[in-house]
Amino acid sequence: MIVAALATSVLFAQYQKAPPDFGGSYSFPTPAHPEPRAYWIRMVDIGMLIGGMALAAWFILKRRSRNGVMMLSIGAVAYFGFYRKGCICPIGAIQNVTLSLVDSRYLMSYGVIAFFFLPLATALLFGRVFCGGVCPLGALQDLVVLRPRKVPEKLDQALSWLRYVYLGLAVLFAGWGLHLKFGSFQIQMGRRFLICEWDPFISIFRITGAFHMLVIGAIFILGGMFIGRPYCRWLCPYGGLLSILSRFSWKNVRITPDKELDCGLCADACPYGAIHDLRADRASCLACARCYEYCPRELKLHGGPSGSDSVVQVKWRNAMKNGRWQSIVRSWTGITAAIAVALASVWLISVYIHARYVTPRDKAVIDSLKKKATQDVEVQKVLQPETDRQHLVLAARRGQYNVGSLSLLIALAIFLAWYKWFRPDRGDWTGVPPWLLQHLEKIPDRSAKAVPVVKSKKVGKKHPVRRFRR
Amino acid sequence: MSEQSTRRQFIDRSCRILGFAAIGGTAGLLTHRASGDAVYQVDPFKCTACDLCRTSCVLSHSAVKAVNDFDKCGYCMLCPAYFDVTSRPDEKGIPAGKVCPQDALKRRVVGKVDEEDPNNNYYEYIIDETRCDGCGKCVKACKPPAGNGSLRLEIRYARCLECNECSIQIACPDRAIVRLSTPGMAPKEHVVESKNV
Repeated sequence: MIVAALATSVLFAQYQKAPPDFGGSYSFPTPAHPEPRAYWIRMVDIGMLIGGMALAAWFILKRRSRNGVMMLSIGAVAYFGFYRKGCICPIGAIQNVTLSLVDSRYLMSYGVIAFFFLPLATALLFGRVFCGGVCPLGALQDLVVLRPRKVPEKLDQALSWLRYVYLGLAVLFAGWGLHLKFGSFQIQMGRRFLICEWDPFISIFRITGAFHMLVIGAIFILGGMFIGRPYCRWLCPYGGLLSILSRFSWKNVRITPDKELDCGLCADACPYGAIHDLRADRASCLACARCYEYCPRELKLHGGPSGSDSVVQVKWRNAMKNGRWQSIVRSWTGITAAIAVALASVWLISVYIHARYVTPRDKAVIDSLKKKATQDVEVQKVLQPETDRQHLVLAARRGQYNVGSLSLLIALAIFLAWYKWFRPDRGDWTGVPPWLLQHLEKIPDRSAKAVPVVKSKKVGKKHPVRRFRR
Repeated sequence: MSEQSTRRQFIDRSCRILGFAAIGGTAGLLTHRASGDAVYQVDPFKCTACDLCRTSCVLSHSAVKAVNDFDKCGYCMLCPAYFDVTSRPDEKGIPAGKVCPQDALKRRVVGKVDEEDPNNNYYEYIIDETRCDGCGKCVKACKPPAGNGSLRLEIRYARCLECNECSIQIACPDRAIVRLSTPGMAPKEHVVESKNV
């Protein structure tokens, strides 16, 4: 309707004939102009945001359940990530708010206002529950954490300043652009939304993107398997704002206090180095609820599960132990999924390289044929089939990208689920060749109880690296 | 210890109140000038069909497609957007080449069909959106005086991701991508600047 209003206004000084008299019977087709997304869907998004943050606050602060937070994360990746394609998000909303404050002509929508200010207000109340269970970028990184390494505290603090540098740059470019002049040297860059242009995960949520964006996304996913949530801790400008506000939060993550046992298991369990002096640092705690899982006192004081002692987990593990075939399936599901991920990646990259090689050549063929066609009529008989063939090749390639990307993502999801829940324990691997088995057995056992090592208050310094899952 | 905790609580509480005030104030100020969501669309009066729509969209198959306004179309047999009029004509006098590189512009005979003379028929021209990539060659060819100007480029909302910042708007040299408010049509603004400032 917008388009119809735009385009059917009178064309000044343009040649226009009245529609011809067709004879016979003919009625004008009604051209279809698909409407943009209905406005009420944005209200559903805001509702999901509020509901998600409320649930996150309940799971993290009241129920103290890592499983609940993980389910929320999966839901956030599914809804805000893959369904809404990661847009609009509060991180990008920084730019909209900046631009609207700088220039009142800029069209600002209620949805963007809600998405920007609601998580900030929630941070003042409950800490970074948005980061814990709702942000799709954070949830994606949280779900791929496999073997997180401890980052030295000084390095962690230094890198955290990058968030504010990025925030400053984003605000500068969104509001004003960069216009510098030093004598003869000058930079003239118009207003740009840097955060939107350099979002690492947008290409994953859209399952398409420029090559460099896909590479950046892959780097952050792979890196996120071994360093917990690098984007959230060191690059997210909105996280920088949330961490400032979260310092004054009304309720926050409280690790189970116990005078007799300063074991430091919570500090080991935290993949993000957010536990200082056996207390969750309000600014850097990303509310993932892993510290509760490994606290031996959690069961006694809050009646919740504690790491591998959970009754549910023991029952599940015993049930899965039965049967040789079940064991083989358990052993091989993850290995197959990992191989599938590798194969899908290689296939996608090879299709891309092939396209880079073939497309300019095809274009040159068509161009030369067209040039010849202006002189020789016979060339037309070759040109049309060639055009059709190239179109089929293009359509087939798009299909290959779609199938390959979906397979990659599904295989990755299966691998992650297997690593966290279905992986056999040491000694339970079945049907695996010995040379592979010795590598697999190096992965820490799920059922092994962690032994408390440190009794001092200064946890985090020279602490032995212990790798936890989930 | 209780002295410290009271002081800490006081600082926490006052910062919280300050924070809520700042959030509420700014949110209120922005809500005052807020409207519905915004979408992007091509302004056909400014568009020069430069081919950047095809390559600048974040989607690999651009959301910009050509559309034909049937009430302006001449239904001509010798459509300048369909046939490449610079190509060599065949023995019947019809140009042998086609304008569309993807062969997305299709036509069918409508109205009373003249069996003897095919040049005497009217044709309905429609665009196959699975093939059209938004290059704009047909749009350029249809511009007056050669054609009626019924073909134009349009962002198709069935495909458009409605990004926060339209990458085509950044690339457009004619400032032809406008940001419109939904519902209704707010005055157009062009505040985020294109590359060619």
